[in-house]
Amino acid sequence: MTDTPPLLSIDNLAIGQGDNAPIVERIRFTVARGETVGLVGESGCGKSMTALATMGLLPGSLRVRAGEIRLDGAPIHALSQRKLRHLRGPSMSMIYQEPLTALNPVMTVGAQIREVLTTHLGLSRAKAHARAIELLTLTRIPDPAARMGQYPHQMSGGMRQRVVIAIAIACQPSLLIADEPTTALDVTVQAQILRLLKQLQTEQNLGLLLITHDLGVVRQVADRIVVMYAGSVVEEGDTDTVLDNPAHPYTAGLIAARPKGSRTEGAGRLADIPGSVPAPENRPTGCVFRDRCAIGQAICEGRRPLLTAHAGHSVRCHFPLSAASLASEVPS
Amino acid sequence: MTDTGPKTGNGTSGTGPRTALSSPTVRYVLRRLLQAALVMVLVMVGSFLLVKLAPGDFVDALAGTRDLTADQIAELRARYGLDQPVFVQLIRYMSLLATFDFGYSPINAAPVMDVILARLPVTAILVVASVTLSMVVGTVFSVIASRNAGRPLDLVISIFMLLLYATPSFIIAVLMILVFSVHLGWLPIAGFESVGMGYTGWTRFWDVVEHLTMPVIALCTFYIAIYGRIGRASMLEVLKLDFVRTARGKGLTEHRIFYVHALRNALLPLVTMAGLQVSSLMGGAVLIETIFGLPGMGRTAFDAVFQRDTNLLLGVVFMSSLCVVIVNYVIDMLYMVLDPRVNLK
Ligand SMILES: Nc1ncnc2c1ncn2[C@@H]1O[C@H](COP(=O)(O)OP(=O)(O)OP(=O)(O)O)[C@@H](O)[C@H]1O
Ligand SMILES: [Mg+2]
Repeated sequence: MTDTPPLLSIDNLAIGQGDNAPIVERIRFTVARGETVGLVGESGCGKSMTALATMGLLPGSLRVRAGEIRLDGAPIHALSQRKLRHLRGPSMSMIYQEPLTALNPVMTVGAQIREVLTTHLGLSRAKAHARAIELLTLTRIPDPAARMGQYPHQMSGGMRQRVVIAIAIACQPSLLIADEPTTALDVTVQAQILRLLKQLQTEQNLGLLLITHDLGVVRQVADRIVVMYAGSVVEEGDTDTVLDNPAHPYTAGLIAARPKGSRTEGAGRLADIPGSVPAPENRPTGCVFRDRCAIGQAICEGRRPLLTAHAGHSVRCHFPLSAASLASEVPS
Repeated sequence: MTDTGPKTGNGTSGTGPRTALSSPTVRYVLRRLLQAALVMVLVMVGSFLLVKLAPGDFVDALAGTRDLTADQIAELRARYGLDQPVFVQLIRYMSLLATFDFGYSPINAAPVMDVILARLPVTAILVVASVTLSMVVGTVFSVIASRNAGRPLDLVISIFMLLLYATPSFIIAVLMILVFSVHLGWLPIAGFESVGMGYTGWTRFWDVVEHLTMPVIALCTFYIAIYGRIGRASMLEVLKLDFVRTARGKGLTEHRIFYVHALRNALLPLVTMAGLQVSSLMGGAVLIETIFGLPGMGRTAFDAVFQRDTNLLLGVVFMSSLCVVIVNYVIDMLYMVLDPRVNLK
């Protein structure tokens, strides 16, 4: 094969705890260099765990139980913490869901940025200091030099998130995972942070995996979209294709549930789809979505649909919607 | 309030005119001093009344050991004001105290101040040495235990801590005397230093160290267990926090994550504990001071109670309370250095 491998490729990934029902299963998607991929799905469907598995930071006794995670073609899901350490920072990094608690409360912001630079790039303290100020400047934080000596509690949530971003891009990784980078922030700050991420992504040619609830955000910044439901990928494809012509009933429901005119409050609750996301141990046999699906039939109970190509994108459904049948449901 | 002066350097809330009184630091210190003075007055009034509630005074104690005529007894009482109503005695005592006059200690035939000044260093050395030693050793144990959480070494340490926790310090003291003084003859059995040897300088220092090794260890064991257990729990708690995940996600070494990021956060509860330890050791080391024949504050208070030497007892209470108040202040300061989130409030 002569193709260069994608920056991040996740194939058939399953994450679980001991013999319990897996939290996510058969996750498959890729992120190319310089590409933005939006990962969406309801709360609890396993977005964060997929991201943490990529970083090798799964909490507690959660483990990768099956499948592969490759970074630049090299498998990383079985690497020891010691080897992963050298990838975290220079090759991949992550912005976490909770900016308020992501920083060490008793260390200055400057020290927390500097240590990435001294650890991975071997910069001297003075050089690291100067570079840290540059990084803070990149994040458009007001008065970057003065921020260096401050502690996280002296900053607003938006500023802390900028610090986390500065840390994440410090060693110019090729993959950046942003796990709902704006949910904890207020609306005006959300837009600023998103713009900043998108700009850094273009400037540094980052592969960006953006996890969000918000389809509006995805439409705005993502080249491709991956829709997860109850631990599996149910649909995947070009952002516009998927959002304009969703093939999976769940995606269609997500789009329909999106309040019109609002860019921020996403599809946290699905008014149009009855029921809620089942816990990992209560997922139905066959298609995981069947008990909430309006078009489900007998086969959906018996056999789990495969992720199959359908009109330019992949969908995991026995009865993918056609563009025509949806025309009336999709808000234009 | 009009905003006339420049902003105070504090940067957070300084909007008032810049006078010494409006500086948060000065206000904080003043408030603390006022609090401390109030606490001291309350402690002294309370102790005074408690002591007077107990039947008998030092004249009774004296009359029990030698023959005194009724006239002599009355005269002694009059000389020390013991024939006055309690309320008058209290006013008199408190007004003398306000000038740092602790009165006279009949049983030592010396001013209370002199007696206390002679004995305070013994207790101070004991307390400082045991707090330092137990904190250091306890922290080391908690670090080793939490680094090896769930492994056999963790279990061994936790059993050892339980043993230290459960064994009364006087038993440890007696065992040490038996082993190190009686059998091996390595350490002196009792006393603060070798009397009558005229040691000076380093020779004297090492002599005191030899004498205090066992008492300090005896005072430490319980607290080593406390620090060890609190420290381990705190460390494991901190290691679960989000910022530790961030640190790991930055590709830092486990060593750095553990010692630079987690440890400092985990030590905060231990600092609070150290304050409690100082308070309880200040007057509470009677048993150990008695076993090792050390003329410390606990021992002095004990003697004062039994010989009804009110002035001496109250003097000891005053000195111990003062030390506790000062130490608590220092601990608060230390806390502020260790945890930047704690403000002058
Ligand atoms: N430490 C853990 N051990 C076991 N299971 C966990 C743990 N943390 C989370 N889970 C489970 O993993 C599942 C997926 O959680 P995850 O955080 O990935 O969801 P998410 O899609 O990121 O949701 P949200 O949008 O709310 O962030 C949940 O069902 C949750 O109960
Ligand atoms: Mg999440």
